Amino acid sequence: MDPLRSRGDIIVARATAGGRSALAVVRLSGEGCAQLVEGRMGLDPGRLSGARRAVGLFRSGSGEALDQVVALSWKKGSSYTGEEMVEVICHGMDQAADRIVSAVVEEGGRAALPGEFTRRGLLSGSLTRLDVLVLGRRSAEGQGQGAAGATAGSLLRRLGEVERELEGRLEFGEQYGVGISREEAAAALSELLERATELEGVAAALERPARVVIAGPVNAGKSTLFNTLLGRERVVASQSPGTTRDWVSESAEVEGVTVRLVDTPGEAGGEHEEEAGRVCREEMTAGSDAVLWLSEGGASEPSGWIIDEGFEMLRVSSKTDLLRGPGVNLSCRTGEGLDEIRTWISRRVDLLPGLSEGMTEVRRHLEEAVSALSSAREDMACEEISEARRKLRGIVNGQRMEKAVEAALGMLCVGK
Amino acid sequence: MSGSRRGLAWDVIVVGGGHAGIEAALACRRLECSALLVTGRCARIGEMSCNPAIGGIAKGALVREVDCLGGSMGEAADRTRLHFRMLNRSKGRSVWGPRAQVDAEAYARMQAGALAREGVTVLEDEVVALHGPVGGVDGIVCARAGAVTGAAVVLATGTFLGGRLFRGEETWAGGRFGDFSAMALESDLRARRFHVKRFKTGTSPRVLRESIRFDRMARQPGEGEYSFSFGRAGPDRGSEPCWVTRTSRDTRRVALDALDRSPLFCGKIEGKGPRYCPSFEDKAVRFAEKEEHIVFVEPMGAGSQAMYLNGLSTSLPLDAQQAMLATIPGLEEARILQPGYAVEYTLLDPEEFDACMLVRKEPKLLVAGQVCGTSGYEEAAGLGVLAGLNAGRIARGEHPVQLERSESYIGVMADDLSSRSWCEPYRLFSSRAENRMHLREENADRRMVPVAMSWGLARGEDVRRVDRLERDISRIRALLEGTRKGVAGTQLCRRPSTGRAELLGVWPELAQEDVRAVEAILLDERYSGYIDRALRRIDQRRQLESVSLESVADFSCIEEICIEAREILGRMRPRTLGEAASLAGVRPSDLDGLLLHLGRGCST
Repeated sequence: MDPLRSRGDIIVARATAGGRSALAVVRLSGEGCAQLVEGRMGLDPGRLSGARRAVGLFRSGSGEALDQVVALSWKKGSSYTGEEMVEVICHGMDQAADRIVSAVVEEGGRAALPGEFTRRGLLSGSLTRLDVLVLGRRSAEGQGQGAAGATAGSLLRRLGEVERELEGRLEFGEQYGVGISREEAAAALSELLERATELEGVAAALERPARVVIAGPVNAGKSTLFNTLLGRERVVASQSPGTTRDWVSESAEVEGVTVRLVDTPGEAGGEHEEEAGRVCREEMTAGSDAVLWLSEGGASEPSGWIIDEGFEMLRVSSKTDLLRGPGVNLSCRTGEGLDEIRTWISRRVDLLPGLSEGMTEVRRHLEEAVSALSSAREDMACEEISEARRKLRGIVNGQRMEKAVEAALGMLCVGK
Repeated sequence: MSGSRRGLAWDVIVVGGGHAGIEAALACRRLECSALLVTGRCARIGEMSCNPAIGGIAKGALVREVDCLGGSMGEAADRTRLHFRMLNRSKGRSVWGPRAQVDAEAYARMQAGALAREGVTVLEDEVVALHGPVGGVDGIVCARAGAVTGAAVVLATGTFLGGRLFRGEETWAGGRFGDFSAMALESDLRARRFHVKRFKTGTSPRVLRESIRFDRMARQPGEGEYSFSFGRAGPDRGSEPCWVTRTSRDTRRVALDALDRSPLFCGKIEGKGPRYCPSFEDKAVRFAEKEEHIVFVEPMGAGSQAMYLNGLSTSLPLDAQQAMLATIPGLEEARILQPGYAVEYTLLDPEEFDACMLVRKEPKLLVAGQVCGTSGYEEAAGLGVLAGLNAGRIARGEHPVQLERSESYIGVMADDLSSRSWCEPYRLFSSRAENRMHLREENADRRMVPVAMSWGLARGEDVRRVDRLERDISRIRALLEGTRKGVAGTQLCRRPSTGRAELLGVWPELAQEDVRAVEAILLDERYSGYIDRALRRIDQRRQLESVSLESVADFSCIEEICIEAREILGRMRPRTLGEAASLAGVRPSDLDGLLLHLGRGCST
């Protein structure tokens, strides 16, 4: 569905998993969703959007009472999706939540696609790519969404607000009494500092070195390449096919980037291929890991699991001192093709350049800002916040994150 | 009327006797060019149309910059001061704002006196048109004096071009209360196809001092002494207090009740007003939650019966104004001497002039002041000096010059004004300057006197003072290069908590040194990191401005920027990143996204 054209729709979905739980959440996003919910709850127009929360009976189109609910609303620009949003908290019986969703659909809403809320957040700028990556990672690890306020996008927005308020205080404070007080600013900054510290931890966790898996048929020369890239004889590479039995992974520096090289047993089709596919799905992450498909003279076609999972792949024809083939022609003996492979690796997998350091710097600037404010140096505090914002903007929407973001979005289910 | 050297009637003709015009004419005289200043009413030269105060945050530093370039505003303010406060004294040093209430009448007389003393010829007449063909303007046409030609013309008409006044349901032509409106000149500019637009500004009522109950207000005494002119104006004068009171919910109600008779809200006024200086009715509508607004009651002059109500700018009908006052403590029985009103006026679009204040398609025409889109006396004076300087240079056959935005607020202002379209009157804020930590009132002479010298504007005494100061600073710096008690001097200076006292604790011999020199070093060091960063940012911004967007076929596909930005960019199709940056609704993060998309990494 073209995200640009469908943007006007009000989307709705359960945000919580099915099954038994005390509460369930139905999430709506899109202009007019607050009004829609007000209608279903019999509230005066503007009541929900003005007060931000309301309690009452949610009725279906035919007037039937579905459940006693609490509705929360967010204005455009300050919600997860960046649009007007409502969350209806109802009782955890499956029926209630599903029927609320149906009632909304009857009113003109549309059932949300998987990951659509997050996609809208990304489009509106309220979520950054980093936030989506974190979400994807959390999803993959089976975790929940985490604290709603802790996104890099909302940190950016709040920092902007605090900076504006402080500037307002500097320019007009004494003459017109506007702008927040020093105490309020200090409190706000401390909270933002906590969020930044949290994000710093998140960044560090995200920055696990990417994996480069060397795959291909038996005796293609994988272990030799592995050792060559590693710079030492880690695995036994011998002429006889089927030497490698297990997956071996080692950390290596490739053109300044830290990666984990993974040597695999040769694939002889059938069960080996299935096995390889299964291990990859468990171990690797599409978009941040890559595959070198190695075959002698390029004779063998890449396995299905590589294409299906959408991994970045470089085709390598090995032992080309004997035979030449498609893709990069490699000869570990002569060294031909090695540089090209190294460059490809470093470019493909350095997904989040400087993310962790960048986040640390952001956190430091905010610490300076808090300190400057406490010693009555508003001008310095403003500069530090300004610099923190600039640096944060620079790292949360990295260019190379594109594919990984797509992959992460793909992992999200309906309601996210 | 004395002639000039070049066989023309005048070297420079200045149109308008306001704060911009005065500084422009004086700057020309410093360059030894003959200057003719044409004003509709001589008696109104240097008049303060609204608030009788000079200075403020960023504005105070600006006044000092004007002073160092040979301008007169600072000295006039010093000599006529009634009340002084240093704003933001409890906040960082770089945002200290010296602000003086002045005797409005005495100030105007002082400025008129400066014109006479420096040999500016003043002509009282109405300028009805520019003289010369399009692209070849070479003078002006006056209603009575006819055509007058010059080597350069500075347009500093303030709010007079097509000026229209509004109060309640009344409206009449005028550039200011009691003054005519420059209708003919406005028509001429339009006929010459200048791109123009309309802005509005307003003023507060002036009330009779006797009718005010001061015992119901809070007294705000003046504090401290200050000299914008670095001591030239002689000893300090006494101080008159200001008074502070507040509006209430009732005041708001009166304003809201009268909205149907407000020219602003009835659509009679098209021009946009300054967002940061809104009228009271504006505030009443926009800030619904705010019950009270501060009103400063300011003296207008030692011999004057009038008090100015700062914070009550309004164009509501007279009876509504009276009713509002009745709800304000201390002003219940106030007699209005001159009601508040709004003025709508024509000004030039920024695409018409450059950062030298030169009109792009007219090699002999310059502009300064509110006619370029600024608000405020200080802003006008800053642009006036720059325009006057360049008018003089053109008259002498030299090329015009610019000021760097990294070095002065005048530079920031000229660059901002000429490079993007503003939808409201431009007011100077410290945050408009990337390098605000460097643009301090305290170091204005160190920043400006050297350039003033190179352009022939500097006073001998300023040059001598700055020279001595810099030598002292060098000497003290050399001393501080060393280490004592295990701390390097420069390191010690960098710590925000180090003041003069702490420094003397380790280097007691500095007690003999000029206090200003020691302080200057402390501040320079303390802010040095920020200043370096700001300079880099200015540099990067300049480079990025020229990044071409021609290669972008379709903005709607750029995933790195949010949807709103894609729509705006698609509609406006800017050719460079600089053009994109000037579009309303395009945020810095969108510019970053564009750069990412173009494969150039991030702007900072």
